[in-house]
Amino acid sequence: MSKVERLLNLTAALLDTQRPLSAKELRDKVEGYASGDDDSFLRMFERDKGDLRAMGVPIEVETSFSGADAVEGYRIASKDYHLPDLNLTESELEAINLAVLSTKIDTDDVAEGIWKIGGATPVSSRNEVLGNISFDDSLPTLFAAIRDNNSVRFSYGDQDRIVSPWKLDFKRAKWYLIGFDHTRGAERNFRLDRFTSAISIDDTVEWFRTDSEAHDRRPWEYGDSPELVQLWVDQDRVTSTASLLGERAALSHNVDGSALFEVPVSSIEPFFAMVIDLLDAAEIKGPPAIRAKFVEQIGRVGELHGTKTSA
Amino acid sequence: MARRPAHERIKRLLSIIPWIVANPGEELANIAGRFNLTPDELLDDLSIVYMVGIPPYTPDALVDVEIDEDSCVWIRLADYFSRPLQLTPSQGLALLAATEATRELSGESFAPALESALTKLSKALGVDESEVIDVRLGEGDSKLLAELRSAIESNVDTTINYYSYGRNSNTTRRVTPWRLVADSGFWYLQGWCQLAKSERLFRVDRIQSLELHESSTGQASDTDHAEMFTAAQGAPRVKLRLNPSSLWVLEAYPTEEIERNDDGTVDVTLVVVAKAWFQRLMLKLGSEVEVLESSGLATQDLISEGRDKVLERY
Repeated sequence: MSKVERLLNLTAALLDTQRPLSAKELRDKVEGYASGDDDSFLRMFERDKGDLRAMGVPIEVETSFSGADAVEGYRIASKDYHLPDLNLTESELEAINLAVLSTKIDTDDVAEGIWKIGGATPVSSRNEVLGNISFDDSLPTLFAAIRDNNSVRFSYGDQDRIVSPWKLDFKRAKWYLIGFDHTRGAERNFRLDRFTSAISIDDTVEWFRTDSEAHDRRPWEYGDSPELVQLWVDQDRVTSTASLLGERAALSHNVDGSALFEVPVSSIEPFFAMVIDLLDAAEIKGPPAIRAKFVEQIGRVGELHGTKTSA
Repeated sequence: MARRPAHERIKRLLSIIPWIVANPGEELANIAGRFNLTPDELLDDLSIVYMVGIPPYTPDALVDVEIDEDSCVWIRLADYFSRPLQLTPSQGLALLAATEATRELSGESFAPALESALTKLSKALGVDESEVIDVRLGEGDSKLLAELRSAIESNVDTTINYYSYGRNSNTTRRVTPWRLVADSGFWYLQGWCQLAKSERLFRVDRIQSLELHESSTGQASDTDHAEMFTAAQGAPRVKLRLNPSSLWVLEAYPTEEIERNDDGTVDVTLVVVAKAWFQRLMLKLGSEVEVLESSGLATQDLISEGRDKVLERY
């Protein structure tokens, strides 16, 4: 008998049974196990169980007592096995298929996921690849933790963190985890490619979520007590600067097309870097101390490289 | 027929069986296509299924597979295989991420199906999609992306006001748009530029304004986008020594040679794609950098020029 047939028979028997079945019962009942001695059966059964679990089949183990002997019994709970019907229409299935074809997502799992929800549909539209999505090893564990409201423990750089996670973000071609960092007592973002250990579930803390809208924080918005900085921007750069600064920067247009932004700044260096990018298309108008600091910092650059400052 | 590994065949069958149960009488070739198999491979797999069942394996306890003379397929009596196996977190996330990613570019014809598909998918996964995941292939204003997408689909030219970061200047160009593609976190418009009389890539977040024309006058697309991202061969190089606090440069830009020194500093060679790009980099790095070598570039003059330009307004 083929392995495919034996494993399908084992899965069917474990799904169909009302009570856990012991290894001995499975050997007697399931077609494909009858031949061979006890040792070779047990080895085969162990391997089969492992293979099925690796495919995601949720085999449960329950210990029961018959007299003084503990007996391990096996079964598959239908609710853990069966995917509920998604009720996808053919065009919804096609939309998902098109999405999968047009974003190169770096895992084989996506093809198997497609089979489970109804298979590949003929895709009529142009399917050009729009972009790539990387797939970090830690993503499935984190996704499951988010779904189950579990806190996780991991090393980040050279520090250990305990985090209640609630969101995964893919931006600038990298994955980020957003959650409450119990080690720091505040919401934090973590870049997945900087995790330096595997992730484990942590049950020493209560799952906790801050009620903040800071999911899309700009680099200069990290830190405490933000100061409002007035930034003037040339008319040619108003559109792109507005989208760069985000909604928390108040914008007032001038008659000549230029604009004045009021930017909440908590961290000054990333803010200066953004202003430098604008070169002569921007000017920090105030507060005076921040303006002076910027002028002083930029003015020093020439000296460092051995040139004279112009008057 | 090539031998296929047992676990591959099982995983696929656990999805194929419930699909046939739910879609009785479908043609064999169509089923095979749906599950990326040839009809012969599927027939081979189904020949195993009709021997599968539950104890005591009497005919009434076996999966009943029927294939008629027109190659239409029915499966009955498989309650235990009536639904596919649950999605693993990895499969669920992969589907959700791909679907969520195309949202900003789905175009009007697909948007409603995509939205309802996302809702159903997240419900099956036990999450609220809008709360738990956000996938952006690239930076770029969603309204602008939608307009560009519609220009591409209806095959009309655009006039864009484009800010060139490298040259620090704005130009207005008529562009025949070919496609949108994301690379390293940014959306690019690829097309034929009438100003340059050649194909060009434009970063969408640097398009300041956009106008759509009635028709298209430029050349049609004929190249693959991949080759457009390669660095210019003849561009000048600069070798910098970075202090430990400025190592973000290594991640932010394409680098050519990297040497790590014992004191924690790093020597790196960068391609200078444009003058203004180099000036900004040096202004940001301030005292955290030393220029070691440069080829074909008056670095000190450039740095002073950049500094004076920024300070001009103060």
